[in-house]
Amino acid sequence: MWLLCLGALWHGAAATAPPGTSLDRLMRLLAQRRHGEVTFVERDTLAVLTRPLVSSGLMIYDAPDHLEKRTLEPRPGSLILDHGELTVKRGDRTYHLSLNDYPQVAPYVDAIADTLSGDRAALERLFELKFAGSLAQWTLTLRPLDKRHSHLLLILIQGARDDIRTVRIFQTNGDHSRMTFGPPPATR
Amino acid sequence: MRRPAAAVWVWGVLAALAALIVVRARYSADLSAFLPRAPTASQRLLVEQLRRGVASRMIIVAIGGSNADIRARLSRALRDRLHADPGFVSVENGASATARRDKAFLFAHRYLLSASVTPQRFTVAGLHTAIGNTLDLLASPVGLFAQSLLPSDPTGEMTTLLGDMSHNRPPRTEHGVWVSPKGHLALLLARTRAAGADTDAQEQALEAIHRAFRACEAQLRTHARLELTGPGVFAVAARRNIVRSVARLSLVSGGLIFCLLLIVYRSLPALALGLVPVASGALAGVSAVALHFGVVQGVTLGFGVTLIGEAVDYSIYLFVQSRGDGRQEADARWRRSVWPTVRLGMLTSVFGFASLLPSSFPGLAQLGLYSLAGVLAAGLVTRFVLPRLLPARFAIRDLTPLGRGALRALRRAPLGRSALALIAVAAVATLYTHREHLWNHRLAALSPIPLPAQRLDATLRADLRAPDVRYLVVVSAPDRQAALRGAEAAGQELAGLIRHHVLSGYESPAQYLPSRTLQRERQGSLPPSDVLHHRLTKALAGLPLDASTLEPFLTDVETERTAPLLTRKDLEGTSFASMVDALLTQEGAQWRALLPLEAPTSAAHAFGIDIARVRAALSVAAPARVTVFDLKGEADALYLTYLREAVRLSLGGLAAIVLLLLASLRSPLRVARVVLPLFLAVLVVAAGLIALGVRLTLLHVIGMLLIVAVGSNYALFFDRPSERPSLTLASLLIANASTVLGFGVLAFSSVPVLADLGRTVAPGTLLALVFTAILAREPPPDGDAPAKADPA
Repeated sequence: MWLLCLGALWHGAAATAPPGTSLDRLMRLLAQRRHGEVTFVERDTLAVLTRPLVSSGLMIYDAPDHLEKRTLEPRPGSLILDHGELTVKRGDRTYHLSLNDYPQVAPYVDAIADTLSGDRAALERLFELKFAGSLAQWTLTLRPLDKRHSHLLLILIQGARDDIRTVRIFQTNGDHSRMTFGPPPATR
Repeated sequence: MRRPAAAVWVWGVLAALAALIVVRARYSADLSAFLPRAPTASQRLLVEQLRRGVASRMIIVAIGGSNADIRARLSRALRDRLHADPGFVSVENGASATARRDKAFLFAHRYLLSASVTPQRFTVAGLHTAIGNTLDLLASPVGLFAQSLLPSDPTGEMTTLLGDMSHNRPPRTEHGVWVSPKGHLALLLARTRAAGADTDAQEQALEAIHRAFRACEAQLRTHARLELTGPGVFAVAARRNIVRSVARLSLVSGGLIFCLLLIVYRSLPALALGLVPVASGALAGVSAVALHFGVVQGVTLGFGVTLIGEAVDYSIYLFVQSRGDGRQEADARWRRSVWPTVRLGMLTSVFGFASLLPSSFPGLAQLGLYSLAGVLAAGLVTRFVLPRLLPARFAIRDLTPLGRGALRALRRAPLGRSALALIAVAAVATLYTHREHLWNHRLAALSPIPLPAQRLDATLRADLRAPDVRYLVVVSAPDRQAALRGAEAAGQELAGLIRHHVLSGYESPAQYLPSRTLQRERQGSLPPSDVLHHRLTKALAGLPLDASTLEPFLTDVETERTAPLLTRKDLEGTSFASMVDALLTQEGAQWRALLPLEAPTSAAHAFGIDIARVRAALSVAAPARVTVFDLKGEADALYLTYLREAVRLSLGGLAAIVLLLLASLRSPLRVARVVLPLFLAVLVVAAGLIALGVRLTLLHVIGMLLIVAVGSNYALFFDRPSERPSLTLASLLIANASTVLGFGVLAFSSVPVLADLGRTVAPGTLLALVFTAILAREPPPDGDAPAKADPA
């Protein structure tokens, strides 16, 4: 009798745990995070350039849709994503861009923003998702579903629990970009 | 049988002539009734902006209901349909296709259009910095897009151009189209080809939008809600409102007075004859306005409803007081005893209305002329024509009982004197305590647009982040090129103010069509191909970029360097064409460039533009004439002129009435006795309106003048000893009832100018009669005095 009850419990638990369970747990973990502040180093390898561009700075996130990338090196500037609008500051100039006006840019920004907010549904609207590894050490592969985004090959996001460690973007034309995140300057 | 009176013939001919004029007159119900007749230079600019400016052509379209996806699809379908409609210059909904042609134009001519094209920029150092900046931008997700432009635009002119044109945050986007901040409305912005003041064309544009929307609904098999706002929407709604209002008011007040008279007279012939002076007055009024102004405003016809109330009084006096006698006797009595009083009352009205004639507010001037001509005609017809039209055994119901009852009430009226004194004190106290808030100083007070529509407009504007243009920098110059050069000079100062966050941006025709001088200057900044190639090679030192990658850049610069200068024709097909047409205007020998300013959107500067700083900055650098123009301030100033003028004219009219009474009554004491109750009525009505939370507009002021003009009729009857006091009183009661009915109906109009007038005059004339009765001298004995022979 006692065993039977345990068995039923076991079955019940199994029934509510579909194959995507690690991904769901990751998403829940990410969604719990309301605020984040990390340093970043970005390395862009573009075919038009003779050598990669390297820049670094701070990345600040506030749930659910405020993301700020503050570049400090080599020249200060900032890029703020707020409610689907991009504000770019360079020197004393400020540009407001609607993501909608730049459909080529949208998937990159959406991939990062939706991962940060743990919005699996939003991610799955744009990408085919593949989760690999464990919650302690995971890799998320995003491939665009929309033909209009065919210039983008795939996005690889790696992390440990709710810590995102790297984001790598591969373009169909061979260009690629890699962002590595580290702890915020205060805790370093 | 009476002799065929010449007066009747003259009347017949004149009435036929007037009818002809009335039929052929031009009628208008647009907003021009509210714009000044003889504007000053700055008012002309205001009027022009209101009628034809860029803002006047904007229609904001909101789609609500259904779900977000359907709304977005409706938005796209609607845009496509309207885009094909030649009535619209542009229709934007945030979908990227909208701006494709504009972007192609900007890209093709970036070296002639970009403000950063200077000789310095194409030196080795300048190129190095500019390309370095562009590479910075590449180091971001945006860069992955920007890199496709890099080979042809390494100095980032396109980014500069787009940045200059998108200083304000664009509306929120969802499902690829603009939506309201909460996302429950899809938003579009349409610009009509026709000017905002072209009400017919605006009406067609609105119909086109509605038709297209229904077609989109059918196409997508769905139902949603469509809301429109903008100056054109307002103009069309206002016209519809005025026309409907005037028609309804005329019908209702006409019907009410018809019923009143039918009850009183109990005789259809009497009723028909009673309407003769009214109809004559209306014909005279409309034809006078048509002859003098060329066009009859809809609101004038609305004001004209009031004439019915006044003109019908005359025949009431005639019918009621000449009752029960033989024809000859009645005629004589009318001429001897009643007509002089009616005449004096009519003259006071004429004097009152005449004082409105010089008004610069067309609606008011027309009201003055209409009423003056109408009252005069009605009076003369009552005196000379109507008695001759009365049938031999003309009789109306005996009103003596009504008069007797009124007389009994009248005898008790003086008991109300202490109450009246209290009311007067309370009125003065109310006005005194509210003395800071008596007046409505905004032009919007006259606006025939209902408050909910005004609120919807404000909300949608905020949603679309398309605030009302309030400040304009105006550059005047003798020719087009000088105006553009002036705009460029002003633009440089404005750019400095943007850096100091005084404003967030400005628009200028020179942004899309630089002056020839500046275009040549920019071409001069572009080095020849070999020189550029040489400098570029040097400039790329230390940058991760190969000169061979930038071949397209060299080609494009060379093309632009030797290309013919841009003209207005090159803009054709882009949305910049209409912008330049709207922002660069010619009037006579004067060219004007208009630069609308945009207020800072950041919270710290949310209180609008510090216009004094803008003026100070611009007064320095002005080769052409530069003025900073505050549209809203100008509009309110215009209204203030109207208001001040209305007060001045009313006081003048009042003075004229008092002088007339002095000349005719020849006793200051009698004049005071006539005027005091009218003055009290005005006081109490003003206090009542204030107590109800109304702020006085110029129409209230005019209403007060009318209280005196109309009320003096009653006061005069009380002033003169009457042969038949009970009948006099009865006729006064009926006359007052008809006036109160006429203006009372007006009070319910949805056109504010008409409602303001009605709400003042209807209670005012009633109070004028009551107060006159309360303050009257010893009331006459019961019953009519025996008809004694008059020495006259």
